[in-house]
Amino acid sequence: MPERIISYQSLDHKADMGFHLQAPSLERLYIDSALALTDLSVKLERINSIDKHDVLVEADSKESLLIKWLNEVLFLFERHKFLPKRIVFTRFDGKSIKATLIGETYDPIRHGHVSEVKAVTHHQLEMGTLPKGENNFYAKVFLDV
Amino acid sequence: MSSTLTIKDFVLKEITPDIWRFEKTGEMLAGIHFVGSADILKAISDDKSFEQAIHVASLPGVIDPVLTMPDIHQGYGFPIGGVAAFDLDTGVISPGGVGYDINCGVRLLTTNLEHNNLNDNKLIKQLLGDLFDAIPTGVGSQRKDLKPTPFQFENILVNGAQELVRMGMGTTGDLQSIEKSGAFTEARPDFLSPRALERGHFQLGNLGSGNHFLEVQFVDQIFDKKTGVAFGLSKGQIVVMIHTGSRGLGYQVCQDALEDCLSASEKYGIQLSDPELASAPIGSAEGIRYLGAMRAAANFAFANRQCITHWTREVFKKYFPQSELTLLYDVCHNIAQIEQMTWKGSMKKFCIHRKGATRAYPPHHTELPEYLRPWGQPVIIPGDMGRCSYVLCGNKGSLKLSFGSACHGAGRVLSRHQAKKKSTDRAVEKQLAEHGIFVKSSGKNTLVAEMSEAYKDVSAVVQSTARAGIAHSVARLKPILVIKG
Repeated sequence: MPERIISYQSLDHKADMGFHLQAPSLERLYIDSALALTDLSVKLERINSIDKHDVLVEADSKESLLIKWLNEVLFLFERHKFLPKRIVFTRFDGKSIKATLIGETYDPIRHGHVSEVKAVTHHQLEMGTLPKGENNFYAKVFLDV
Repeated sequence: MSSTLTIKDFVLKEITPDIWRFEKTGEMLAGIHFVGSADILKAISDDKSFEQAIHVASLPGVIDPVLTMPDIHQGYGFPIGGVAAFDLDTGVISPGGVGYDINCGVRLLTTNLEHNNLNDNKLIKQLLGDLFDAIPTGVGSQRKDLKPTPFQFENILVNGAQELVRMGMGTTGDLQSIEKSGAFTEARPDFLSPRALERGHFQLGNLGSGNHFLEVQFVDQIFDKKTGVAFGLSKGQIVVMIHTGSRGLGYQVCQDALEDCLSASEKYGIQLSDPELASAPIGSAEGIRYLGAMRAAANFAFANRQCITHWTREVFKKYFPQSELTLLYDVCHNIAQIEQMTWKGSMKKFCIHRKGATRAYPPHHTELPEYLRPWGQPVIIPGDMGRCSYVLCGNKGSLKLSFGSACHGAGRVLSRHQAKKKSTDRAVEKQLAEHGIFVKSSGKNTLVAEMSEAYKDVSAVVQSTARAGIAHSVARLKPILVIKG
């Protein structure tokens, strides 16, 4: 199966950084955001699919859900040194995500250094849909680094 | 005649040297005092610092004026370099007004060593290597010999650096030289989520990464001799500066509180211009929860800096058995505190948010330990690793001018991405070595992201703070060796 292309651009902010992402569905927007967040630190093609972690995230709004979900990915790295390469949602209803993340444990020699991201923030967070186009779901996310 | 300065659509009026007032308008409940030279303020016209200060000045119960320090730059919700006081009855507390790294702060250790004890490059490199090995840096690493029991860990959250002294990692003398004697009272570890506790437990004693550092420096210049003597500083003396915060524990407390306060803002009808300004009335259940959890995170940060101090002392003893490293002072620069002061003729209690700003109490303040009371509070200002850092002292009148608050550092001018385009880690390391500064970092691109050119000149920030009358320079410090995460 060919690698799925994740369509994102990194954003420059004086003290911090972020990314702008487009996806063909809301579900893919959440999945691809997590992969883009990882890709900013370690290129996805350098991560193997040998380990997995299950997570459950719930929130009151789609924005809070995105922030909580991405912070969960940061936590998996901080606590378990886990880098996801592929993500499968087993439940997704806009207010909760149940997911399996497939990837591997971080290896400093193979993956290089990873700079700390303190948190994914609500700052200037944008989520929405464009009137037309294939990748019409978009998100703009800033990180505190 | 006072001068005016127009930046974008904002008309600022210079009310005293380097303090520019922006009158309240529209939704604002307080005016803003921007502290800085005209050049400093013009330089931030390309970011959203002004707009962010206006958002803060529109929060309920805010006291006029909201202030920004000369190291102002755009942050999340609050601008970095922001100071905002809130009335305890009508005001709010905002986790975004403290930031993710709760009690990020700086401490300075003086030594009985002189620059000529440390002018041999081989010795400097050995000391650098040993300090780097002794102090964990980067995400998640921890020393194997530091394993606090759950009981000790809870005590750390309640008693901060005091618990570390009890564990044999410091002296009682250290405690009087830390803001709040090394522990915020009324900390509530029971308000922390299991996730926050987990993130703290395995990161105690970690320096972190990014702009956090440990530097061995020498005193390059003394500006105020009498205060310098009182602070134990002399020209040519070796000192050690430590800059770090509350690691993942603090970030998680902030994240949890932001969610809690987003609901609270809706519940209490607080209008938010930016979700990162999510707030709760100070006396509400949500406000009390955040204050208690924030204090526990702040205590963790005090303990974190105390661990690093202890290991630094051990390494110095190896090379200089007679060395004595004495804590001059430890200050928080991301914090909210309940403080009492005379304000416009009567005694008031405020909740003061300092986000990228340092407390700078004047002489004779009763919160200061006796040895500092005649002089004023030391304010430790880290610069960038290639230039210099400063020790300031809070001036008489600082409470009236800025609720007793000063700047906290240099402030970035280049994004990390822009910095990476300009140089490489290796080139930065080589350039610093040519100037006699040796660096070691666990991270790729950390050095380039943190290079001098990425920061404002801290000297300009400090000079402006002094011109405004808030604090004055006591000493300038120059780096000899730098450890980065």
